[in-house]
Amino acid sequence: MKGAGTATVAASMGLAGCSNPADQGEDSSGGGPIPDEPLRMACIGFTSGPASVFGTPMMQSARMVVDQINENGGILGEREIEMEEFDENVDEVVQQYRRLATREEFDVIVGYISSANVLSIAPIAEELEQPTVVWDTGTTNLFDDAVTDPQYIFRTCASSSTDAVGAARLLQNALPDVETVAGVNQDYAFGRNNWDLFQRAVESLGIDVELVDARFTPFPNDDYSSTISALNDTNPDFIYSSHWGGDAVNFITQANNQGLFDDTLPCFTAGSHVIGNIPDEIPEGILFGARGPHYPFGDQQWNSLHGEFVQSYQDEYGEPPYAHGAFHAWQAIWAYVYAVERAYNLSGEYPTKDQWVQSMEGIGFNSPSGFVNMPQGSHNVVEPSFYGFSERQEDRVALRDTVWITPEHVNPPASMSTGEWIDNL
Amino acid sequence: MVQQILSEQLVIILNGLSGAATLFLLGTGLSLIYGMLNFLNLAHAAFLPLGAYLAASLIQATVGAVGGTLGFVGLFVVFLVLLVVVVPAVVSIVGLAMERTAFKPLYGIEDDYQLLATFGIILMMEDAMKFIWGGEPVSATAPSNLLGTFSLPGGTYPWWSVLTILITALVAGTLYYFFEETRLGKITLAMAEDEEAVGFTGIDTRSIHLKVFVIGIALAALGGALYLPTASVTTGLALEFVILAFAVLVIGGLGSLKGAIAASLIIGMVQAYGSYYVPVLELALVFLLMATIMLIKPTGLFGEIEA
Repeated sequence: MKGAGTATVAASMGLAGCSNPADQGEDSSGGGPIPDEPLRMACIGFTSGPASVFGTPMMQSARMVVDQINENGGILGEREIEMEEFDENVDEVVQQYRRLATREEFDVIVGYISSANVLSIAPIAEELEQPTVVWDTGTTNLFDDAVTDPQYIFRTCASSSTDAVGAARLLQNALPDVETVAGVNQDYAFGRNNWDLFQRAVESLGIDVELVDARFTPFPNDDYSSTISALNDTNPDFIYSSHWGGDAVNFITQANNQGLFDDTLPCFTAGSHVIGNIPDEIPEGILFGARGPHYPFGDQQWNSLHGEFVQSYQDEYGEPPYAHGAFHAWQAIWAYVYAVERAYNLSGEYPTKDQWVQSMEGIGFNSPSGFVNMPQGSHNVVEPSFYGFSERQEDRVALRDTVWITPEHVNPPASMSTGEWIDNL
Repeated sequence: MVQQILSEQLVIILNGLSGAATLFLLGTGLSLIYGMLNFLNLAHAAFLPLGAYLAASLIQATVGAVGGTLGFVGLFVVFLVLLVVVVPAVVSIVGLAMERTAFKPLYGIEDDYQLLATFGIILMMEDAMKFIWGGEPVSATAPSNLLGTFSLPGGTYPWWSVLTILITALVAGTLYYFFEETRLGKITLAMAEDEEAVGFTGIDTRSIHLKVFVIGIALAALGGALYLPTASVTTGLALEFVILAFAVLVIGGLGSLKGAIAASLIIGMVQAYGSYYVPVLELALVFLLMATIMLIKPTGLFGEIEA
């Protein structure tokens, strides 16, 4: 088996005994010709603006992964990846996408954090037949609404359904003492979508809790004092919050000052990256999700790829990959590369973009966050839901007593939209 | 029961006052500079996050260097000196340098163009801050953690917010005395009315310009430094605060200290009560207020110059 990923794949899948046709010298009995010119990959993420809390670690991880692949020769050990970074923080994302797909002729476009942006470019990706890998956006509307029959666009991370339905199941199965629940989410698409999904899941699953308050704070927001005062007064047992970035930092900092978390358990479904920003402010024993099991610390019996990834990232950038985006970048790039290598190894020919599409469908591979796969009939990867309690250690914050909920329980099947699926749980 | 209600109200009032404190420190400078120097400076709002970023770096450096060795009082004094003296002083120097280079060429041109030009400057300043401090949120809660919190029936409340209110009240009082009682203050007020006439008396108006400018910038920087320990600073904060700074200007009236005090208190309280009882309308209420004032009294509550 040829491949940049061969060693990794072999090690993780126990296929160390595979022979490598490339060792047989010039003889191309191992397969057809591999293009000489480098693969052009565009990576798009927020490297400026508030969402750079996601984009910066994501881009750093992408850079690291591409460098590692190129160090081993590139895709299939031969074709180098030429990666260029682009800031998602532009007014004309569609123009940017078209330019990259047409005039700049990128072979694959990997990117997008913002829901609004991905919904704009998804139809264009299909129109231009441009291989596109969405790496971080959570919006369930991507395949429920914007592009219901995708060909060239894939998403290599799970949608917000894992966060919302996962939190609901967590309540039901692991937190039976909770009686009152409140929501504190940012007042924009992501915050509203999250709360909507969570609320519907709680209702649909028939969980015996009272939803006492649903707050939507301005986005962005620096002053949470009154919101916190109001929550102190209603005193819910549990808070569902999809807060992220500077807003989450402010919320947690001010909540600490006002003692909100003394008798209220918050669950920050997408807030794990904030731990990297304010490690000293994180109280003991509050719940964090990482948009899936994308967290560097804790005794969760991670696979060997996890340790390697965390260590490489730490060595390269001097800080651990607290942000889930770092893991998502790994998944996106390796998904693309594995799909190419798998197609080549199976057919003996370097795949065209349509052959790449076929190879991506149904792909499954080991990642630092466990086994990642794209169910048949879907262009959307599913991930388990993952939550843990913050545990302050000497030089880091780990997540303990983690709960993993299987992908089938927190992602809609390929045949249903998220809304339909949740309402019929 | 009564205790519960009183404590609830107390917290909301404290929230409103500490929000008002930040707005006052930010908005007063803008109001003074516009009212007295006729310079509409959008970039003024960027000096608040600049103060906050600088405060964060100084606090982190201090904690790293002497965190363990100084006692409570010692550390508190150090923090106070850094935040109330050093940060405003350093940022004022930056402001002065920018005044000579970036702002001076804009004096005297039409308001519309001043708006555009200073908007460009605020974007550049945002980028510069991002270049120096990065795109992620920066926080430094050590001063607030040092003072700790006090208990209330519903929860706790940080002493730092109370300190912010007190310091700002002191500053407001000092400014009031300065403008109403001292010679320099009165000259400044006179300049706001008729700069040419003041010039005829032989007074160096340019040096007064610079003094008012420095006061304005120093106030904004102080606002940022006091704001930081209970929050965080990140890119985009300057643009967030621009809107509120202008709300203070419009509601309070140009060039009026009394107006800035009144407007900050009103906006602070509206935001605190609004986000407690009707969170959905929090931002809308502030704009509603602005619109109402502009309809009823376009010069602002205490202003004499048309907005």
